[in-house]
Amino acid sequence: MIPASFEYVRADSVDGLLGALTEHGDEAKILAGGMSLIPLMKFRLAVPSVLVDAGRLDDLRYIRDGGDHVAIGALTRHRDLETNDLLGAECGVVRAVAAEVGDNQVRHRGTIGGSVAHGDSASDLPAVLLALDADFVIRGASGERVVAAADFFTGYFETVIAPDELLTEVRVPKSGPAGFSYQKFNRRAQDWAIVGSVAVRVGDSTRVGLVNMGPTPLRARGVEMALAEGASATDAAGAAAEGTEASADINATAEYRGHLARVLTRRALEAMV
Amino acid sequence: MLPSCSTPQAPSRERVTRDREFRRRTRFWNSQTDVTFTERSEQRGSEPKKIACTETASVRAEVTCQDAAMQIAMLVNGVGQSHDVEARTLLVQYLRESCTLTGTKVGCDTSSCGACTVLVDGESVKSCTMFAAQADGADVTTVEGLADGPNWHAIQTAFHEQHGLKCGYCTAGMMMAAVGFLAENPNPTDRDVRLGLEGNLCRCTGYQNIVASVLAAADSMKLGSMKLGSMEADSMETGQ
Repeated sequence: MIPASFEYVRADSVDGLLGALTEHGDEAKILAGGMSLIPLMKFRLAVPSVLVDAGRLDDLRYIRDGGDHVAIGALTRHRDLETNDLLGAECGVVRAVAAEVGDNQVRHRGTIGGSVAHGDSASDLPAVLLALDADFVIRGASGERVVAAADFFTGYFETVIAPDELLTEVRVPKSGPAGFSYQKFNRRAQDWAIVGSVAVRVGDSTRVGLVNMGPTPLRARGVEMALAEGASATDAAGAAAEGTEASADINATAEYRGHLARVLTRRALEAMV
Repeated sequence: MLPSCSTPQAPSRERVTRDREFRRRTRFWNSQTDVTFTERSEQRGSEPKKIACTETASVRAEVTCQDAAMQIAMLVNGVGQSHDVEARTLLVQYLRESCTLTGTKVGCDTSSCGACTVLVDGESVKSCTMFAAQADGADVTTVEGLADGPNWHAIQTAFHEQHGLKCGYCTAGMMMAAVGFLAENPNPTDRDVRLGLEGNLCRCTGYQNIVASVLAAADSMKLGSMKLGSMEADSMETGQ
């Protein structure tokens, strides 16, 4: 399958990329690793007339200690995340979940920024970043702004990033090397999660994030509140599907997704070490 | 300003000839009717020009020979390659059609099966889900680049000896994924291999022999590097 024609622009700097976005407006799409965008273009579900390739902006490929958080450049690849010791020590859950994304080939190309900016609720990392209350740094021609994960995802494949803006950095609060579990349910190893549930301990509280249980990644607030009130993992997990808007597709009905959310959340809470 | 690549360039004469040949062959491959028609035309000694080709063939031909929009260059199996391509040309298409390296296969064409796996700067990627322009300037290795002249790569020997294939369609991608994986994990367990190759599908073997092949290759590569290491140690001792 061959995508529709487009003009290819290779960005050699962040400013250059922002300039190209300003010039082409919403006709343009940013290409990072391309692991989601290129299949969409091949199916012609995405038909950008200008593709701005950010793939060589190595300035945005880093994992740094930011004090109370780990700063991850938007073009950092999943492979970088899953092999990074700083991330393993300070945000073990991000490193572990990055290793669950797609397959080796996908992780070699796919980036954390691409995964976040794509806004697919079936992606693994956005739900984790939401559970950890990560911040996203977005740069536009007029400057930089920082958006909390809770305010970032707005709908199916939609985020607060404007057409002329670029996600440059993900700031993940430190949660330590352990105390988490990610339960991903899919039929083939490399597939997207039919449903996923991540449980992670942050300080005294336990956070739960849900993958593919609605238009955006979600927090299982009901579960978190029940745990805070001292409920057992089994009892708390019973609230996992509350307030979700799971869709039905070829893989699962909405009802079955609700069931999966409860079961996977219970497993995540029990396995959390 | 940014390097923008929208100015069409005229394809070279050599390229036009090659594309014409490609279009002819594509018709052979794409439809039984076309094969018969083409053969008949050839028997009559006429150029098989006006055959109604399949949609796939016509789209492909359009992509490979018209609207060349940008020039890209990369090292493929150690050989410099440079061609005019449309920006939307996928890497697999570029390797197969512009570089005529057809060892890399297109399987699912949707990033699921891994048959198109090649190494880009040493890392395995699915070449159906990467634009050739993204690999501009890269060092690409395809299955054709594995063997060193008549000497097979350890992974090729292992697939041969362990019966790691039946129909062979997934094999090029399977071996390239394995080579990339073994570079990252030279001491894998059975489970590591299965996880390492999760991006590659085989519809014949049931994976058992593929996993055995990769484990055998890991062993022989370790043995190879140990031998190399001891040779180096020997030469250091003897001062050679």
